[in-house]
Amino acid sequence: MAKTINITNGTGTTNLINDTYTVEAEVVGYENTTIDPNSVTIDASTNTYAFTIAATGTLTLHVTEDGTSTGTPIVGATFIRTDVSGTEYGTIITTDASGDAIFNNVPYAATGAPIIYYKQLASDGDHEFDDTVQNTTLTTQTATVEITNTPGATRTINLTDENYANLPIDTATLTLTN
Amino acid sequence: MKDVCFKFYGLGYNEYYQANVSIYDSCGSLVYSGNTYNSILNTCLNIGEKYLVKATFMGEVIIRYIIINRPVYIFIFDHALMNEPAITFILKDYYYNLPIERGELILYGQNN
Repeated sequence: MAKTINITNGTGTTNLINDTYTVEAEVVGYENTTIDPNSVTIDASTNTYAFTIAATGTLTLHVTEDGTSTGTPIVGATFIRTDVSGTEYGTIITTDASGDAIFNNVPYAATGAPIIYYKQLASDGDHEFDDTVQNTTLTTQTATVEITNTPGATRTINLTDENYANLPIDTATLTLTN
Repeated sequence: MKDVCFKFYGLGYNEYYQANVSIYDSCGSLVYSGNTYNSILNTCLNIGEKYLVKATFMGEVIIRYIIINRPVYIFIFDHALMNEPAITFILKDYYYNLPIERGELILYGQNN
């Protein structure tokens, strides 16, 4: 006899008698055969059991100055996957020489694909970026999202003599560290 | 005569939780009386004949008429089953440790 456990936000509960069970998964966007473990023995001493499942999609975040496929790439921008509230999961991914940050093993499905949340943690130091949580869905196994990191705006910095009002300093260097 | 297996859900796969089972033929004569072992009992009954199965466990009683036409019969002690402790299942993405937002796990019992 089969017992189905509905999983919501990573957790499901049920009443279940002690036995050894073969485990199958039905998760849209994932490879259901990757459920691990695929067999579990329920016994009286344990009431919580953990499983993992994997996906095979690839999401490329392509970062350029103008957000186009041919724009100037931003090298060294960093991203991480999150949930809807911004909690971070997995490892930080950095854009390569082409401006690509590649997330492997993400879920995809033609219909009903899970939402993939991510956020940018940093740019290359010379460009502005949006650090809010973004999202997308993959309807095909590979997909690319174009992301804009605009150049920092030109700023005017004035340096004057403290003891002689408005007297400009002829030549100097200021270093700003964030 | 045919060897028939009776399986009872709600007892767990545990030799210490036994249901008391009585089986009567169509004339009301007792043809079997005994306890389950690991939720199961086996006995020989006549194919095509009607029997009354009476099983009791922790005050819960199952009374069911059956006609023997298959090798396995399953009965459920609903009250006992629902009193089993709730089991929590956690499902996460293997590579990201990210909780799976929505899905199903289907478990197939091997002994019950």
